[in-house]
Amino acid sequence: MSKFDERLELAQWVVDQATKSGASETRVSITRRRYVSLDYREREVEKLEESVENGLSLALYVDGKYSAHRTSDLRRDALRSFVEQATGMTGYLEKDPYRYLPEPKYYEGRSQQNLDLMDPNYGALSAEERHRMVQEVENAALDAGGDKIVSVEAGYYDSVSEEVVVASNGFVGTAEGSNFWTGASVTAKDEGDKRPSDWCWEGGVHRGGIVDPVAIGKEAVSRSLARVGASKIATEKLPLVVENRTSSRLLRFMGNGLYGRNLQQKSSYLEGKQGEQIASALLSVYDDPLIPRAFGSQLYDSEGIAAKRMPVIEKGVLKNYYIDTYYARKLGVDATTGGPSNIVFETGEKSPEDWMKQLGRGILVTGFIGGNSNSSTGDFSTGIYGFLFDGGQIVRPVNELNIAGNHLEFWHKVIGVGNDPYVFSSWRTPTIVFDALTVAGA
Amino acid sequence: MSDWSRRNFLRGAAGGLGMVVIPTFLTRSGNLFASPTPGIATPAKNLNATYFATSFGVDEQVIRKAMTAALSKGGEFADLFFQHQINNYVGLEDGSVNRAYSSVDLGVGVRVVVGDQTGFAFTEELTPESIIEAAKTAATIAQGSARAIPDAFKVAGRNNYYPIETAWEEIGIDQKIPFLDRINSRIFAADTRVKKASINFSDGTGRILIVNSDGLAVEDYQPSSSIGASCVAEQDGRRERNGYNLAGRRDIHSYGDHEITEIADMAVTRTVKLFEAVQPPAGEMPVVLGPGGSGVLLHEAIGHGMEADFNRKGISIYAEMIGRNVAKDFVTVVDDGTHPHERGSINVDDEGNPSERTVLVENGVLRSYMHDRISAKHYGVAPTGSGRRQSFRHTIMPRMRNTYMENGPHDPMEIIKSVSKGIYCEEFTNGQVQIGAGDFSFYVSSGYLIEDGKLTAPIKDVNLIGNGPKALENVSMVGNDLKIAVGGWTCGKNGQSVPVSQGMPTVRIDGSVTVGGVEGGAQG
Repeated sequence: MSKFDERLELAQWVVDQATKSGASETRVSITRRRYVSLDYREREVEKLEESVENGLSLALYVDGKYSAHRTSDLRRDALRSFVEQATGMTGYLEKDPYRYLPEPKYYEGRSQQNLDLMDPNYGALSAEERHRMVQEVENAALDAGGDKIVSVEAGYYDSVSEEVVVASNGFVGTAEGSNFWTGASVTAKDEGDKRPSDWCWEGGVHRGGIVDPVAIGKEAVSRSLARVGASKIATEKLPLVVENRTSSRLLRFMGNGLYGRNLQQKSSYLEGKQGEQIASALLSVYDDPLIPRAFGSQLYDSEGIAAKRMPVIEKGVLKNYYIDTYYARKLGVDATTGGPSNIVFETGEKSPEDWMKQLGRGILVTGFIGGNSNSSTGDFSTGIYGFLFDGGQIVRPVNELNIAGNHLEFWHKVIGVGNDPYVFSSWRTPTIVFDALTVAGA
Repeated sequence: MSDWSRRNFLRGAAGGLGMVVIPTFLTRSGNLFASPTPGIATPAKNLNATYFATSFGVDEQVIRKAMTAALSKGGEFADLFFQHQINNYVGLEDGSVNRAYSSVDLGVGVRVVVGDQTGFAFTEELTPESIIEAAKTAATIAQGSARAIPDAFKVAGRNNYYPIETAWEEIGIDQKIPFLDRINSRIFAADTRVKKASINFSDGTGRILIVNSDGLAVEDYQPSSSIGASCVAEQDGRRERNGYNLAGRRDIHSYGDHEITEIADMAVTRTVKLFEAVQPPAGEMPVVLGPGGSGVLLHEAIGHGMEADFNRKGISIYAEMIGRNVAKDFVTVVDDGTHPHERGSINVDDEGNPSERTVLVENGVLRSYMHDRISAKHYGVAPTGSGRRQSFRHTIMPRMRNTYMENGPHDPMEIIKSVSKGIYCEEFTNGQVQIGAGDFSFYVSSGYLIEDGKLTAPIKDVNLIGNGPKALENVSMVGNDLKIAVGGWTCGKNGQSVPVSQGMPTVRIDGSVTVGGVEGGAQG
């Protein structure tokens, strides 16, 4: 008997209730997450959290009409009336000929691979070990920072999640996963009232993803101390070396043109660009859901579509959009998947240091502030901060700067992709290097 | 636990741009789930008559047992936060009302406090056993012997800043659908360049009960609603999208012919205006903020930095600035939870303290932080009714409610006339701040260039960056036309979202703010 049996049975029961209430098709997913979270400050626990969260999601297709619902109340009598009300309410909507469960062909070919997303030793982790990890991070940070810092906020988090999905047209799926994180945010003293801060958090799907808590604490301190004395520079055209852990922000801005809904709603600047060169030939980006022990790995997506590796951009050419089955039907194309799993790049040879040496003068971007991107036109504008480098060496920290442009021009400015994919995220972005553009400052 | 969850951000709902959308199978919410005892509740007189007692059997006896468990390890303070939240959403796309979403959240969060330390656990099962189990888990933050619970719990009265006539639970989806159809028809009739429209109607009904170990119990009933439209227009092969929405703690009677017209016409006007707009030039220049949504500046430049948790920890740029002169004497900034029917208003905060108007800056002098219980105790001051949480699954933090600048002495036209070359900002989508460094930014989706004292070319899609205290110091003129933003703003802090609003009169900021335009942008 599998640990999922009881919830699979409940999910099937909800599907049956929906059918009795008049639904022609139904998909039910039940999730459960158990987590522990510890915050430390001044060598004491500041906050300790531990709970179990349950949720049931229901997609209903009633006589060509569609609605979706979520509840945390999993008692059967409560669920029975929940399903009845939800089905009844759906009847008031208009028919939508494009709404039905995914065609079974999308379920086919599900990988049998073991993604190894659950640390088998999760249950053996003791409260003392959790406390020890965050204490190591905090002590390392406090020791390294001394009187140059104002505050260390260290934390530890782990969780284990389970999900079952049942759809009335034959889909059944179960998934489980764990993750473990520790890190710190450190605030430094600066002139006047300024207190710059930075952070370092690392983790993994398995506990082994946390390699060295002491190094994490030290890294948070050195990053925040490096921000001391930041100021803006005059507006200047400069190349950008965008650090791996932050470059995903630019990719997310670009990516809002890739979604089926935006394409169908005429709100995507990437409409009609499939097969076209939208970026530098140095840029190859893939969606890969089948990487063992990666944060975004899955055997099927939220609709049940069997997961597979998909090129998004290959040598700068737009290969695929993210399209779920509903918008695929409306657009008259095949569905891919509704959203990103793991994002991986074809990486280059050089490190950020190599790039700074090669470029001489520019900005090493270590973070973004604010900003947004217009998915209809591709126009974007965003704040950046980081370091000015000159003669290949970091000169000083800079802040309050901004870059702006249009994605259809901006991504052609990529002149390099680093050798350093960021592994502490499902978006494994490397350092990305852009040719000179206007950096707005004083 | 990503980088994102540690950030503080503010997001508008007007639908113009949309942050990156990751489609999920269920995100928003829909209609018709009535509570066991629907209707607009008046606060109960005792713990056996509350909504949670009559609907779920959580009576005084259960609460006493849970409180006993919470204090079983010697916690100095404990509170129980019961919540039943029902949200509904119905949407129109491609001319058809073809989707509805709903969510139901029911549970209790238990918090135990010792000094600055907090233990927290929640449960979604309102059985005595589950509640006591959660209380025992939270209790472990303390390591002493049990403390006694109060002899009696007194249910406190409260003001009501959002009285409504009709509960959302009494409004069927069939009564909402005509709003969507009428707004859609009007949008397409207004301008032939419109090619797509999405309209949505959402409502929420929240019931909370807070009981703490000081013997205080408070109930609140929190209605909310929002109607919004976004549209896409085409002209000469170019496309633009923008939108408009109305949000607040209001019932269905707040939405009538006038609102339908306003939403449709504003969505279209704002969209087609963008055809004329370009990204402005880059660099520092004087910035004039139009009335209303530009309160985003206050939210980012000063609001977050004045939340007392950041100051208690010494990590805010404002940590040592109380009592100092930070702006000209006509600058007064408040965070006010008592504004009638506003989205950020609360009758009591999520710790049971009465909401209030907290003065952050009074005539240019920095006056008060926004406090929750822990920070108020730390500073030895009264709580400000600012302790808020996203839900029973989250812990309390000091948060903003409705943040705005009071009227100043200047005529708005005079302010625009005073600028020879700068930009005028009208619509905003989102903002962000670094608490300690004080650097903030906000995104302007629409505005104008100012040339020789006049509004000229429309501009769009530009991020503005500045430093909080510097920007406040550089507020050189304040208009007499304060307006509270009508759209639905959501504030994110440490991974928790809460509804807020903000407001602003027309304001001029000199220098120091970087306009993130492009080289060769719209020229003056």
